[in-house]
Amino acid sequence: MQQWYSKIDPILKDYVQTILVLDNSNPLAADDLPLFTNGVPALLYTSQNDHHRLSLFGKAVDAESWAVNDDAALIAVLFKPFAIGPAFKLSARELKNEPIELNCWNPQKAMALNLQLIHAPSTAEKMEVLHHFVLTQVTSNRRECEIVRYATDKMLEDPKTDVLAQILQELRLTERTFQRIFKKYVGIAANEYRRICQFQMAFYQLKAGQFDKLTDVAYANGYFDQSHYIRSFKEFTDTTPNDYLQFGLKKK
Amino acid sequence: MSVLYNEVLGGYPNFTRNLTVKHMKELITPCLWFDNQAKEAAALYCKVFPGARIVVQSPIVTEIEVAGQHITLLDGGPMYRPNPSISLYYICETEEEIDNIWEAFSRDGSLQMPLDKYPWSEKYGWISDRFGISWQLSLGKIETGGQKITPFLLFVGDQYGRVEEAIQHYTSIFKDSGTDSILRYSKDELPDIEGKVKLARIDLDGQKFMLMESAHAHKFAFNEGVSLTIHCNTQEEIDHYWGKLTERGAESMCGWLKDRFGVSWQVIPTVLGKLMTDPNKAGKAAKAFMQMRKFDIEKIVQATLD
Repeated sequence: MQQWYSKIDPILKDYVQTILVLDNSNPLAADDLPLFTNGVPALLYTSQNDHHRLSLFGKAVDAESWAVNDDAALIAVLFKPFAIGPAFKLSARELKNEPIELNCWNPQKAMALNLQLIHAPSTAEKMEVLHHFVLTQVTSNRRECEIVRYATDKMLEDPKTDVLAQILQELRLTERTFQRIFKKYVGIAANEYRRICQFQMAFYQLKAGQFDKLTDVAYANGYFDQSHYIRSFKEFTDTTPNDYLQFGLKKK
Repeated sequence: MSVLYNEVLGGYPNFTRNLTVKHMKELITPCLWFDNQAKEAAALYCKVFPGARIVVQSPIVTEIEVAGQHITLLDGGPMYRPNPSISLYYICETEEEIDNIWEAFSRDGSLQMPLDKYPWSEKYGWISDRFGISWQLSLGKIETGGQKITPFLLFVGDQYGRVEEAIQHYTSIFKDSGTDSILRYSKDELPDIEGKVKLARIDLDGQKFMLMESAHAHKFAFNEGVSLTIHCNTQEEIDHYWGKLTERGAESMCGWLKDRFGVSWQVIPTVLGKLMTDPNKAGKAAKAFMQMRKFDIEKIVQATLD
């Protein structure tokens, strides 16, 4: 059985994409899995033969974790990008590799959560327990959650150079504090992130052929001039926009 | 063992059931941390300790009773590993008892001091069992030590030289407390410094504890692997112990704290035992205390009534 949790709290909707429940009655084939789970951070609960496991996945839940066998249930709280770090006070570095078992993240809290799960007999009740747990994590770390969410969204949508100043003003933060929080949870400096977004936007436009001259792409995406754009393009792709348009990325 | 429990519990092994007739528990009980092996450990202890029995069996919490004393075993995961900084000093009244336990604990255990004759005991040994729990076994009379099992705190490394301060601190926090005896190092016991505490026996509210400091290079320190739980009847008691023990210490989650020496304590309301054995209330109580540092009895009880 596969179902989606439909009562996600409004506060959580900014940070959680969805909550997915799978259980034993109808095991999934590998390609039945929802596609978006790839690359999405998640809190994963699995239960099999009275053995429970709770883990935090920073980037993506590995494929074998999705296997649901007899007498097993799986609940996945799928987060929006960069939301899991500030909610659990885990840096991007800590979340980079292996999943983090919840009983290593905070053994006492994990124990209290496990007690609730043990006393929630049905999968639906377990889902409520996990929803409440994630909600309390987000609300008790609300400020940092908001900073990371606002800044990453804002830069994605408008990656021009002066966006950082706007963000600082909007969030009422000193540059130092903002940079520290951003670097901790996103893993790279805010300006680096902005430049990637900027490149990405320009790249879409270039690929789609929505321009007459290269200068249009450069200006439309907030580059100072065409040569700045070409330099940035070379940095990310090791080729130039013109070569890319002629030969694609493989050529170089 | 598990078959027996299923019978006794009427086939509800999922829920905590307190199998004992209501009785007074000690104020302070030791709590041992396991990674999924609490039940196995409890079964071993109940097999080798005469008269020991399991009084609470639940997925996370197991509690055993040995000679009227209670020990909690928690399945909390791999994060904390018990070590010899807090050991349990166990008095055996017969040779057969000490030999049996020694043999059982030796299997995959690790040795601190071999079972032998020492100036303080005809037969004594210090060993960590295969779960990492450290035991000092000593042949003797319970009347001498005052109790069958005594928590034994070993101050090493940064904490060396702080036993006297710890005695002061602990005896000021618990009522009816005092020092039973202090034995000090002499000048020819290097690397230990003359005058430092070789062994202190203290009494906290009628319960015995032993404290020692050692200058030898020990590779362990106090941690959550073995903690001391204080069972409080009222919020005033919780506030009192929590306040005093976190002075220059550190608060943790769910009633846990570290005192100024790094020793882990849990300050827990006694009512929790009753709530956690009620399948209709346990989840609600856990939901309430998951967010707490210091336990708030009122809030927890209120949450279970909703």
